[in-house]
Amino acid sequence: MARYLTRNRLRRIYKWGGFPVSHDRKLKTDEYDSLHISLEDLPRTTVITNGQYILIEGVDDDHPYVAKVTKLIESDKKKKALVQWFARVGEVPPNKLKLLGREPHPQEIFYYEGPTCEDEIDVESILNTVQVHQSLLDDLRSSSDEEEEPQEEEEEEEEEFCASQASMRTPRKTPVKKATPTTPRTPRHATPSIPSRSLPARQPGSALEEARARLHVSSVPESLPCREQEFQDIYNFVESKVMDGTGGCMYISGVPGTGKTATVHEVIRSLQRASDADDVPAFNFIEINGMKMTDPHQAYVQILQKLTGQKATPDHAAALLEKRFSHAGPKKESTVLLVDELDLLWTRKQNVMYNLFDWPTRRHGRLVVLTIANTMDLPERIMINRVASRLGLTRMSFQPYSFKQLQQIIMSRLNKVKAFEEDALQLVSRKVAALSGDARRCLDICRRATEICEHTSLDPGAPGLVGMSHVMQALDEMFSSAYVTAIRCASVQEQLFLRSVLMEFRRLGLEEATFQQVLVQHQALCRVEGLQPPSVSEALAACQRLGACRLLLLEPSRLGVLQRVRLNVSQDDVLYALKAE
Amino acid sequence: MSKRKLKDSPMPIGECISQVQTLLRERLCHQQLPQRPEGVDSQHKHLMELLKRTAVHGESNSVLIIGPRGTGKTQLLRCVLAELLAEEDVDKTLLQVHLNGLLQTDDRIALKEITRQLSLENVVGDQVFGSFAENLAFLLEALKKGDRSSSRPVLFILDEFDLFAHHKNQTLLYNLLDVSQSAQTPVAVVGLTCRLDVLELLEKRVKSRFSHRQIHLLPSLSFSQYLQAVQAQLHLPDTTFPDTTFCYDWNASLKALCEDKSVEAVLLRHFNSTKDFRSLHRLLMAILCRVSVNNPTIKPADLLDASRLLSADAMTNVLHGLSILELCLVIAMKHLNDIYDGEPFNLQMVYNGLRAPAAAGGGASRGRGGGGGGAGPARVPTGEAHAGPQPDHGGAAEVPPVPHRCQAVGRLRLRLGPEEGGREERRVLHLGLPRRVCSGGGLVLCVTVRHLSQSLRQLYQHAERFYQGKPGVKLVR
Repeated sequence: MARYLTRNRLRRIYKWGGFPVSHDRKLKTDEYDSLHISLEDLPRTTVITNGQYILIEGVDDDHPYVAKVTKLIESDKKKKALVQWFARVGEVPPNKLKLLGREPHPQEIFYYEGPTCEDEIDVESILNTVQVHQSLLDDLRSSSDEEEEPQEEEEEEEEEFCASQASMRTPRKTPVKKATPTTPRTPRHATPSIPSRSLPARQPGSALEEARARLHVSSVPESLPCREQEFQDIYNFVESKVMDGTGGCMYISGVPGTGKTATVHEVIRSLQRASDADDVPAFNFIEINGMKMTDPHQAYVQILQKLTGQKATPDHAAALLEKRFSHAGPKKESTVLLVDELDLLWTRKQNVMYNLFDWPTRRHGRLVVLTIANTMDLPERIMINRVASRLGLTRMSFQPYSFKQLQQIIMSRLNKVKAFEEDALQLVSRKVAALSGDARRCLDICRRATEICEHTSLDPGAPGLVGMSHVMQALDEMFSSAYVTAIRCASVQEQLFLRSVLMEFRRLGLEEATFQQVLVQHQALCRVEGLQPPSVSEALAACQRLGACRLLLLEPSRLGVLQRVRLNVSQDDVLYALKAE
Repeated sequence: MSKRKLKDSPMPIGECISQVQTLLRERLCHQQLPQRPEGVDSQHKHLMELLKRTAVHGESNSVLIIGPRGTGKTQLLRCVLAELLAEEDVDKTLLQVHLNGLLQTDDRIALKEITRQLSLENVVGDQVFGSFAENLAFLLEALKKGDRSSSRPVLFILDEFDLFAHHKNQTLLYNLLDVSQSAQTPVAVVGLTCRLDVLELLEKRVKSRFSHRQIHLLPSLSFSQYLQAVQAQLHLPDTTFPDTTFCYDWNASLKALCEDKSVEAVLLRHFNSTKDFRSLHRLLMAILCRVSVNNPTIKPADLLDASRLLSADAMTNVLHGLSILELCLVIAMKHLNDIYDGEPFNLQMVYNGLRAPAAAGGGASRGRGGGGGGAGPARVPTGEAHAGPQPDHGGAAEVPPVPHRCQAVGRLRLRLGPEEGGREERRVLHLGLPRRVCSGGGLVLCVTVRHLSQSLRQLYQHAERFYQGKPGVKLVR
């Protein structure tokens, strides 16, 4: 059900405590030293003073923002507070979080120094006070990186509105390598999220459920088997460019489900590990997907936003990026850009693709572009010469998986969870390899087979292994066409109509007839069968129903009896379906 | 105590009838879900398991429910959802997004609708949601932030799934299915469609991301099951209906009705023509409308009447309302249609064709009229020359004088069909606008006969039935 915000909540009343302490004549503001918050109809009041930590209403009701009050002022008859923001663990981007070098406590908060965030807030957004335990700060100042700003680190015990389970924790201290508060995202404009569930998702219980969870396409495998060569090639390419501080392009092609995107992601993951260990210089990784944008020019906007956090119109973003990639910066990191579904970035003048491939060739670009598409000959087919030439000849094509590889993929995913019979796995992988070599398909079939196994087993406690019969059934469900069954299940008049279509085709020697011609046959056939011939409307309705399931292809129905009828199934299928009765 | 008393005491008949009407109308108008859809147990189980795994385990899935119209796809889904939401902690967990391909005709509208239904839009407070690109990025980011174990699962229901495949680049489908195949917020994408070839519509990268689970719903009932279904649809519940005696009588009469031979024949004809449950419900609704205080049970005659009403041919109905002149024109056109084998012809040819048999009947053979003059009405001298163009007034069977052709067109267009300006009129005769001006200055009209698949004999029969006994009418054979 859709949620609508019609909830009434208790109104809070905000009052200054005492009289103004001082008055700023320039800004025309009064400063106070305390604020009283009380709930309507409730006697309890909360007092907020300078230096206190508070919770501020935000996007997420469960996780309000945390800040520290620095000043309480009244300007223009409006009550304001100047605050110092703190970021929760969840608000810090994961790649920055890694720099911490240890597992953060879930209740931990971080000093936030982003310049983008406004520090003046309306007092009416203050929810409550919160207790924060500070760890020792002095140690941090002596950390290795002198030129970076030192980072304060606080540990927070959150006191929700009437929470009483505040456990005492010893404050932890850890050296922090770098300052982290460079989140591009301000707490005020954080991205929205799907609300979190009240009960945690149930974990898989039996071996089959475990297998199913592992076989889901989304589960990230420990390693990517069967793509070692490709992995190594891409790794070497990106690593060398990043090391040298130059730029380059690579084109990766392959049919869907052959692990193109997964391999590139794996490469980036290991490169990031290497850069954390200082083996490789640090680099930015940006990913865009042609399918995930509405217009090719949005690519500029997305790249710019991911690179700098700025928002701009496509034209402006293109200009900014142009400037960024063509001028040398004082301390510029390399950028690795992954462009997925490249063919969607095609425009008539191809300027998006041109720019993407031109920036790496600039002297100060330091941009590595990895492009992914489905077709091997995309550069030749859709790109004009100057674009194709800039893309270069570094190409790689991912071959569809062979059955042995598919089998290995499933085995490595299952990782010794014993759920499948050996033969069953082989059948799946042979079948998929023969059809498409799409690993996604293979995993989906296996997943479905485990379900079938679970349903058909006599003893629900111990379902046993997935065997040939289960796999066969899953394959049948996924690949068999329903045309024959649909014809068999159709009503008598619909079947007769199909038969008369065939008769008319045979009479005309064509694969097309008008409804009127078929109707004559249909009525004759009804008389032969001893049924009352249908009226025109009834026959037309039957014809339209067959057209709606696409057993027949019809012209628009406004043509009435003159519309032409074609079959969408082979004649043999129709005959087979009708004869079998 | 009082309840039992109420149940025992006979209610006035009017009260009972209105109860029956409310109860059955709810059932026939698909407002009330059945306990469990019949004959689709395996499909029900499959879908139930699938959605349950999404709701409880946070596993992402995608599935298509395919079946011809009126086989209960939506009903199946609604039943499963009702059952699923009845379980505690699922109803608080599962978020639902309902989309329909006929309403959300492009991705922009669909995205707006998704953000609205997920109530993500108010999250940014006063920020105005502008562009399509922002919306897409926003939704994708929201979905990406979630993960399997902590986010609430989202159920996307795409009705008329095949229409979403016609959106530009299939962006929405790609993104939804991509989320279902990656470690983001758990989603279940359920598509409903009546096209059997729907998978061929998907682009290959979209297709690869679809899990290829298909639940086929095909009507496989036999005629005896169909009869039982009819009976079940009209059956009154013994336990909950307030008046037991009325309920007993009703159910007994219903049983007798279904055993009647003529009723069985009507239902068999209906069954042969379509297995669509909606069309059965239409028939039963027509019967239900006849139930009143004077007619408290359903009689076989009611069913026959209702069936005749519903299966009447629309084209034939239109012919019933034609005047003699119009009918004569139609007959003449039918002749010409046979002669020219469906090629178009003009009004002049129709007029000539009209005159020939009429003249033979009237015993007066005249020369062709109205060849040249566009200025004045071309007159054809007939026996009663000034009968005027109104066929009802004068000797209609005789050829009326041909009025000015433009007038004739106007009149024909107005008077054809039962309603003025109704659709039927145009479906019988395609009277084109004047296409070109003849060399002589007269307007020549192209007239094509459409939808005239009845034989000429049938046309005459209709004419006879309609005009029999009217004074001054003599039918021409």
